[in-house]
Amino acid sequence: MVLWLVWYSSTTMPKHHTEPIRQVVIRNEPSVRVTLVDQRTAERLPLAVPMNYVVKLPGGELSGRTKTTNISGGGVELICAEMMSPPSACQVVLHLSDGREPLALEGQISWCRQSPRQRRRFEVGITFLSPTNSDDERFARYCHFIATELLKRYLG
Amino acid sequence: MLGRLYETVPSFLRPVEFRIVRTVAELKTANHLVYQEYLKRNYCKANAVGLKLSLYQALPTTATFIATHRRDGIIGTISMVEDSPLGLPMDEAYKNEVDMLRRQNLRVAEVTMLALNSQLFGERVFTLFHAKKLLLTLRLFKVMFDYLRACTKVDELVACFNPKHQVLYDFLQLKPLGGLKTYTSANSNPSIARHLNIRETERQAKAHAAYRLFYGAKPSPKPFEGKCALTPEDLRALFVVTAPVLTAASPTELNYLASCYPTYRFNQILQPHDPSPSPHLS
Repeated sequence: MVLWLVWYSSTTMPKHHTEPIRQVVIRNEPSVRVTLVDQRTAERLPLAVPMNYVVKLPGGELSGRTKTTNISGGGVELICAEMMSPPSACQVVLHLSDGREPLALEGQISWCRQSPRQRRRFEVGITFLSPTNSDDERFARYCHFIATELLKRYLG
Repeated sequence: MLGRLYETVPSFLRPVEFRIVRTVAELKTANHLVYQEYLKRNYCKANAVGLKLSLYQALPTTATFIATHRRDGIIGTISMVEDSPLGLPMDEAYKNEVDMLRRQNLRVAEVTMLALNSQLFGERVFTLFHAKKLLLTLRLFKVMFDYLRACTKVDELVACFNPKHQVLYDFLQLKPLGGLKTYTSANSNPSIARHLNIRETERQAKAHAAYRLFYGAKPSPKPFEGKCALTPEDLRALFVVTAPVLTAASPTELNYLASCYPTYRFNQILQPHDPSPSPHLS
């Protein structure tokens, strides 16, 4: 059955893909299987926003610099060289194009999978944590940035 | 029955018309939408008529705007109340603050009764993160803005709202006017107040994404010529029979309202409503 599924997916894929897509399941504990979740209540924008990240792992911290592959009100997606275990806490610093200082937001790794397009690279989804304060200035600034980008996209 | 609108934004907005209310039936439907949505959020108490009526809606200068979908009817609404001797709805909590603007000889109007049908987007969709909801909201603001610029001499818009909506109004760059207060008309929910100077937004039009939407071509008054004008029968039906708004008004308020409709016979409009069946029907 498993072999049939792999064969099926490889024959239905576009010709330039020669390997079936593999999805890496990240396990927190041996008995727990993390389900890949994608709950979109916010629109994704295909923006490459430069960002720094610091992920808190059990053994220490993992930090790096990359660009987002897309952003939304709920979080960001990126590609990086390291595997990151959900639901690790992380801090993201976004270098937004609004001309102001970099914006630091708290989040957690919501999913991680091996990239089907880039070998030895991982696609990661980070979900931002809701602010505890409804007038959190950082949250407001991020909201305004997203809204502005949405308007630019749909109004030109 | 409304279903989710999954199309892309242009397809979503194409069958939606944004305009001023033209008939009493539309006014009632829009008002009922406000009532339903406010009730869900505990902004008003339940009542038997399913409407959120006030004396301000009886004024001929009050304007209500709607987003009406070709298939699904009225899916959004917003109203504008121009200042008058009756004041503004938010004077209840922010009279001192609005008076500061009045003392500057600014003509003030209040934006109020904004409501979108929550069946369209679900409960967890935040306006600023969702293109369809954002553009639906902004297009409603735009038609109101066009009316304001084409048909009124209003200098300053004011609004009061629950602090959880502050992010949206800050995005529209409304400036602080009044701090956190309890607003009785919103079922004693917390409220903050903001204001916006029309000329200043015009100056900022090039720099702000939403203002570019508001300040396209100079608006014409033509689209607003069909604005709903309440007849004596409408005033009686809505504000006496349906809800005792006029009967609860003070003599000063009634005198001003009557002066807005000099040809109407208010003694007939205000005749007590007898809900008992007519004898010849039994």
